[in-house]
Amino acid sequence: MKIAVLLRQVPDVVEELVIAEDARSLAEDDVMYITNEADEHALEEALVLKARHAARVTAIGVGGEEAKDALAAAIAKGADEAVFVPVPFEHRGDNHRLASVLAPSMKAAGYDLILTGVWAADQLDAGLAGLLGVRLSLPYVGGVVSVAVDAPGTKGTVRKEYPGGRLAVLEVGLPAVLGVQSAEQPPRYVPVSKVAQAKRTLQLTELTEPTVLEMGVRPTKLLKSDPISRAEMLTGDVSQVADQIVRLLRERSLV
Amino acid sequence: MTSREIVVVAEHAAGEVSDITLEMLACAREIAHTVGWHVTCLFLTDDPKPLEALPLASDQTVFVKDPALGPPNPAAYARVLPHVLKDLSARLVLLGNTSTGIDLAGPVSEALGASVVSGCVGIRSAGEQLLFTSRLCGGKLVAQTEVREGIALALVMPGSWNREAGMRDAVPPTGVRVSPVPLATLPVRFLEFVEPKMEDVDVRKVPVLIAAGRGVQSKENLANVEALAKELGGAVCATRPIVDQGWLPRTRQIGRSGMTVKPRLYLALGVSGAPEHVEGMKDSELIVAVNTDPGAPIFDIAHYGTTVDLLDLVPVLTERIKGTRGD
Amino acid sequence: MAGEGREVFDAFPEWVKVTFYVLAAATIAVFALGVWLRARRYWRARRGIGRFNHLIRRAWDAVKEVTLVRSRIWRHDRYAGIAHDLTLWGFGVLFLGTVILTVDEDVLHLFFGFRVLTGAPYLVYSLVLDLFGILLLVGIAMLIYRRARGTPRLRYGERDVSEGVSVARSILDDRLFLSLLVLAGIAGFLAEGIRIYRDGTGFAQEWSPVGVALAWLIGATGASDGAAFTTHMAVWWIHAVGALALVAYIPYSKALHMLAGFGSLAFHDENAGRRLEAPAYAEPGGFARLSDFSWAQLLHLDACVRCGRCDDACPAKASGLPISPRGLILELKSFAGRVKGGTAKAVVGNAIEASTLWSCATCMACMDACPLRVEHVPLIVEMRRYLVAQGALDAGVQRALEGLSRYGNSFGKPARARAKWTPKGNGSVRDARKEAVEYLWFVGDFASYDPRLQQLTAMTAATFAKMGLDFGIMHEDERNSGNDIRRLGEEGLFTMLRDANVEALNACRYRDVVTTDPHTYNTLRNEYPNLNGGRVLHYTELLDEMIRRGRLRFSKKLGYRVTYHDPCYLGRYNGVYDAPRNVLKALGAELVEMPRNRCRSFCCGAGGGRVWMTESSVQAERPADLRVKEAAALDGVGILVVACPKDYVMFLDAVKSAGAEDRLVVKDLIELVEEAL
Repeated sequence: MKIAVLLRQVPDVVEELVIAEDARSLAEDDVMYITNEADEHALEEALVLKARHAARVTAIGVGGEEAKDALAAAIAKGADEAVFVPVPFEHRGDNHRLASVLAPSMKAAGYDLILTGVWAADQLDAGLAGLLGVRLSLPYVGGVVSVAVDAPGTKGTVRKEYPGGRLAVLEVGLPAVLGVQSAEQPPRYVPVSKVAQAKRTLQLTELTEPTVLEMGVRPTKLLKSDPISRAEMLTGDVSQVADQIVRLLRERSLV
Repeated sequence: MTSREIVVVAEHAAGEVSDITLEMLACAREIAHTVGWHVTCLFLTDDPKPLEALPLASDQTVFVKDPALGPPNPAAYARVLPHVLKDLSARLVLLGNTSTGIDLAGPVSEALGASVVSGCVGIRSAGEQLLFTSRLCGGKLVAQTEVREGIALALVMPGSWNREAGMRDAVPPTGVRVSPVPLATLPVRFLEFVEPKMEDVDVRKVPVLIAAGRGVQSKENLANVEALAKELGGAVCATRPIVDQGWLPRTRQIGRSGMTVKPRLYLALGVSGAPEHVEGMKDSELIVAVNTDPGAPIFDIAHYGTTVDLLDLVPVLTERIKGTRGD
Repeated sequence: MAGEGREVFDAFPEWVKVTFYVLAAATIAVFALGVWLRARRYWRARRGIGRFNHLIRRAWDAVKEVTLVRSRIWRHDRYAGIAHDLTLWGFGVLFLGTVILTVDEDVLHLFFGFRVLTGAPYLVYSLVLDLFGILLLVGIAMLIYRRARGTPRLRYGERDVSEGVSVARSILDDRLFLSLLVLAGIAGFLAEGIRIYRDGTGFAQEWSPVGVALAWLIGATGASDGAAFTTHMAVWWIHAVGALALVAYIPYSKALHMLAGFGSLAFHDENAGRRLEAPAYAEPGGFARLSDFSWAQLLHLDACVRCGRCDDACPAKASGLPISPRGLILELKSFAGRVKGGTAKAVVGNAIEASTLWSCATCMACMDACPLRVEHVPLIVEMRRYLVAQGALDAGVQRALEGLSRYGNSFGKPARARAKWTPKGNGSVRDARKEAVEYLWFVGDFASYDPRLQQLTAMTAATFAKMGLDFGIMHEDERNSGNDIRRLGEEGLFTMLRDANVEALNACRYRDVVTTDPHTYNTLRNEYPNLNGGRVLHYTELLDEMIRRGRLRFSKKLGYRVTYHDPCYLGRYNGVYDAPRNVLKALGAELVEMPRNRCRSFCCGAGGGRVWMTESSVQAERPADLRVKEAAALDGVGILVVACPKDYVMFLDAVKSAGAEDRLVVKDLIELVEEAL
């Protein structure tokens, strides 16, 4: 079984976000990237399936140089091969474009399962997984929290998460594209030394871009949201705050 | 002349319409009001009956009826939608930014050649243009997007419009049609629902909720929070990280992939206020947030806040409340 | 016959002599085999760890540490120290006496025709032997008494059974060893008594007070010659067989500690715990199997006498966590005995459980308490390295490590927020990257990022300034020093942090490094390369130095009654006990020592990465709570003084959960200094 995992780099919101001068995007020099959390879950789910079915996992890293670090980490965690897809800075949030870049080579590779996060934090466009499904004419289900593959490898049974902890169990014909919400187990830890070693011995296949590309929307303006701090802050020490809270509750007959 | 049709793709379950649908209708109504556009509420279902009499704020309600549209099968919806939307000459399509809507955006946009804008918290029209405001990166960034021509598909963030405005006093004209495409063979088949084991507490029905966030730090501290909840006659709920740790069952999770609640009191302890969580509780009557970080986003939606350490506050508060009950 | 010496084998028939020598030969053979089997295991184990420097000094120190003056057995347990010294000297002298006798009889007399043990030498010999025989018996009696009375730490509990320690076998071994000693001793005296009686000699011929007294007693029973002879032979045989059995048993029993223990002491790592060894293999994997253990580590395992001092000292065990330091060593010892070297069987999971390994706070109380210098903590770290290589980590630890790898701190906050605690404007802290300073203050993660500590850190900076110190910090270029990361077993991350810090330090010009965090102190001092020949100081050392030089004077004396908690990484790890006490004295504070102070200080429980663990097993009472109770129990003491930021927050929480806020206040030493300036 061949599994592909798409790893995207998104801006790390822990760091300060700086808007570029044209106010349409983030400043390229200041952005610190981190692998999209849902994509980390997709990788973990792929590795779980690899262990179960002796599958071959291809990690596809999308973005700039930092994507190569993510690929090294993926190899260190157990992925079998790494593919780097360079995407120019200004097109990084455009999933329509990305899907058209990826489709030809992914179709040729003939993967049984394509996993990626159902959502990315910086996404303005539609989800990559859904778009890829259409481009590759493959069935697509998103919000997946577990994947089971039958013995002959023709069908997958997935669980899709709905609000309230409800799960829908769906049967999907393989090959298919899945948008992963969370893996069956938390993304595993890989020691720094293993990643360092993977970096040293990393062998990447780099993808060249096809000429015909589709585009999605681009923001006309990007700003940092200013918090209109609405809360009335209670002051004083613990004891005084506790008293104030009790008073608030009494006013509303909650105690 | 370009179309002026807004189609709201409704979400519904067990014969009841979801809040997001009403919010989307409120949004559509707002736009339609300013520029005279037409609003259609579209249901894909196997049984229109329970929904036919709803006094929705749309100009018309259309039902596409097919047995294959009963169970929530993303493949069935994705196949039907583009055709129906074309038939309706949709210019602006509203989907919920939910587990259902997110799945449909990609396939539908490819089929219609539509532009997609996610995370919408505001939509306006200016002549032929549609202007969208979205929130990205955990709510830290705001993006404004324009769609000048062609179909626009907007994913609407729950909680951005008032659901009351999605209803009217009269029932709009309804129509039932069959699926324009065959739905016999689909690559995805719905098997069943797995309901969460509902233990003793249904947090949606409890008037007082104490939310435990990352700031609670350890399972041991949770005991103190439980004690406080008990004194207030309420229950403990949690954010996703807490549930992922296994400290509370998933039925206690509040947020986008958890429960949506509207209690009389929501006491958020050590909760940062990420959008996914806030979605599930922002309508609470009284929100009091306790977080040592004065910049935590929870303070944007809370009514009252404090930066004292929750680990200090909880035992003291429990004592005080015990004391008041005595008088 | 005055001064004749003693007739060995007396008037026993020839067969006795022959049988005895045969048995003796057999004994030596069994003993030699046992020793050889052990030695072979050490020979095959991992090598290349050094430890052969200053061999003579090592040996001499080892001797001193077992006997009298510097005895580690006397520490905190004078009774055991006395009993063991008596037993050791008693046994040693008697053993030596037997050897002298054998040499005298079978070499000097047989081959050279003369005897040494005649006349005056013989009289001295017999007196010394008798006296030491008594001492031996007294010592053993003391030991038996303690064991019979049921001293808690000598008992094995459920913990040991669940760890897989063969408790029944251990108890049997303990008893057998003591019994044989007692038997040999008493039988020896009895044989001597009967011999003297039968020989009819008195004190003039034999300066053997016990022997003579016994002879007189036997005489009083009026036994016949024949009965005396039979009894003599019987008792003699008991003594001989008992003694031979003891010698043969040594390599297979707890008695091995006579050899292995000496080795363990002589070949101990002088920097054990303080400076951890880098992983043994290029492919970092920690200790997976037996063949990964070094010969010195196997020696430690063999040296363990199950005394339980480590168990008594362990704060994790006391708080109810699933760890027993003694159990760990015994289980590893058993594992080493069970499997052949080079086997693929993994240590973790087969011998030791992951939950045990994660329970350790790396406080080194166990190693400090161990009379034989068994090195528990390095073993635990090696096994943790294995777990880390597998990716088997607590969720909280994983989050902390991932944050450390990305942002250089364990709080998941950006690196640029590290200096957020510093005041802006005039009072801002100098940047050591831009200007040369005398003291480079390595602030540390907790002091920089923990909201509860930031105010204290700001006060520290203000106090340093008031004291006229020429200091600066590295602002955002500082990263977590890596001490606890190394002790968690993430060696790769430690190396990454260390290299980054070294690069940052090299870009600065300073004389000495000062730190307010003992964990940082330990690794900077012992595990980082010395970059500019300067010192690494804890701020208490700096204050102490300044006071002694007259550069720091206090404007008033604080008359508080305080107690002081020695931080593990400052005190036990690096021997800094006096500097903070001198500072307290200079402040005019009255120090009331806690029952467990200095090297016996009871850890707060945050070390070894435990501060990040969220999935830990439920504890009966956390170490910090136990320690706070100890402090609160002191009469009239209102302030618990600490010198470590983690202690500060742990005790702050503990005082609240113990409900002792009205009795005890936690203060860092710097707060008192600020008050007195």
